[in-house]
Amino acid sequence: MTTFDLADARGFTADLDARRVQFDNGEGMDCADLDNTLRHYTTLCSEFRDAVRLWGREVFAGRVAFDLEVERILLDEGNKLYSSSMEMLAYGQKEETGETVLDGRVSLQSALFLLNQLLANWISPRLAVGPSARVGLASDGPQAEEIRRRLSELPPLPADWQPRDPRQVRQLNRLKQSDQHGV
Amino acid sequence: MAGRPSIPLQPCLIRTDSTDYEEISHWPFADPFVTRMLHHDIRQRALLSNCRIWIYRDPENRCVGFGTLDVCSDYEQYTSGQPHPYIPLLAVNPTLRSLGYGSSILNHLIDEAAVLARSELSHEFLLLDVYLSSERAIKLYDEQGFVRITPDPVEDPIEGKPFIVMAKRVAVANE
Repeated sequence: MTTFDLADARGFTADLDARRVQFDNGEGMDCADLDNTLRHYTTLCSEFRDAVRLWGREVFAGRVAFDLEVERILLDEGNKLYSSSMEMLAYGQKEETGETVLDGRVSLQSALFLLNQLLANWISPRLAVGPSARVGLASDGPQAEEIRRRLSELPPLPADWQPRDPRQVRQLNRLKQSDQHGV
Repeated sequence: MAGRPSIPLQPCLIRTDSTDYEEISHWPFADPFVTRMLHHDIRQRALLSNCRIWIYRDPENRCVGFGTLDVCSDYEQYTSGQPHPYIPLLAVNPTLRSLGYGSSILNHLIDEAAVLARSELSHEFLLLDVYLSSERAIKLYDEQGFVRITPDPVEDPIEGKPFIVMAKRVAVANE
């Protein structure tokens, strides 16, 4: 979606709908096998989630006015996509036998987890209370130049910096190990 | 690290649909802005962006405050278009103020931003904004090394008061 108005939302969901229906039952013109079909559903779920989150952030920032009908259309599509993707996931799980693991099934499971998080915890977006998203700062002009100068002069954390939270320590150690192994 | 308080707090990640979140949302904050942020912005940032929320417990298991950290693009024109760590809100339990918990909470968020920057998941500038009227908060950020980057306060037309933006570099020197 680009303009996030009603026509844009309808176009977006119609396109998503068409691409979803095309591959229902694991059959499709381009998806030659089940793994590809599962990946296709993963793409649809990710595209949907990205678009809805972007729409919400646009409303949050005040760049787009909240439209109840846009929300209804998007949520309807999200629920349809979730249901059919869950069916496809179950089909993929059934087809996995013995040591055969479908990469597409794994990726779809992750995408569905995130989609479920979005739909289950949904709240209607609204204009931000805090100023950062809706007011922001100018990008050009003398004030912007001064901001860039001040940022460039910020000192780094001291070389002996260490986090205190054990979770952060573990995360940092993993990063250092990755660096040592050239990952 | 020099200047750090030594209050040991236990951070705990929470979700916006948890009872802990419900509990902090009903704390009697002197400034209703905090409550509005919890009811609206933080929930939206958690759902639509990458905001995480921690509560902090002291050795007596009291919940002494909370902190939030988002990775967003609100000031991306100053981070080369990269997502940057941003602190939308932190607060101390109103019944436990002036005991130094704010510094401990802020330091945890700084550490978290530093780990994110180290993993290249976000930019090295940790940003926040604060209304000029929040003198205690500004003092806390000053003490923890945040620098005002806005030469002049910026007017917030909706809240009807000026705010400033502060930043701290969370990259580590000469590793």
